[in-house]
Amino acid sequence: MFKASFRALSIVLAVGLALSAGACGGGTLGGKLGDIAVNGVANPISNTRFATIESAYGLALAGANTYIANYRKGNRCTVTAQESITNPCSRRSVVTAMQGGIKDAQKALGKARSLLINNPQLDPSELLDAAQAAVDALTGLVQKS
Amino acid sequence: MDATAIIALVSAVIKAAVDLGPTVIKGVDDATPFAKAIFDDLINKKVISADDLASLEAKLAALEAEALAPLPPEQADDI
Repeated sequence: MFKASFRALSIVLAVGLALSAGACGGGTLGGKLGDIAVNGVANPISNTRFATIESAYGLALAGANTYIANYRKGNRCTVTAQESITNPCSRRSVVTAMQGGIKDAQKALGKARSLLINNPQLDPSELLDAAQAAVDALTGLVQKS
Repeated sequence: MDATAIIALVSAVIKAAVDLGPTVIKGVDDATPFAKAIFDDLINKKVISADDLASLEAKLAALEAEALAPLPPEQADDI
């Protein structure tokens, strides 16, 4: 557990330093998504935003999956045994809410991805905003859990 | 998503990992490629290959399949 926590803290520090250095936007991960587009003109700004949203979704998904996996292993919170330091259990109500959040994010990201690849000439802002909102909602569930 | 939100999200993953004992290593390992992608994009301006992107999306699909698999039957004392 200590080794894994140290690695995780290293990631936090690395991301934190990167972000605080003002290195925001203008990345090329999203640009490469544009290069993959089959038709139309690549939109690197939208693609970068999409790639960032998708990566943030990956983080939230990893956290949610950990919580859900804990429930599957039998570490259930119950009426008489709720979460505590000595009982790191998972609530079924939170698990089902997370699954709902994941499905919402999947749909929203899928719509945005489809537009970016198939109709890159169209403005994807509304779909990207919807994808961002869905990922933020899932993030909120993970942070509260 | 701004810097504060991303750091809070990574912290949430770590918190979930630390709190949940034996699943901690998998949780952090699952999060690593996504945190790295954000890091590479923002600080290194790395040109991510089509293969790297496909690998990230495959990882997303695998995590989604795990998370959305059917749950065990609900029990009367579940909350």
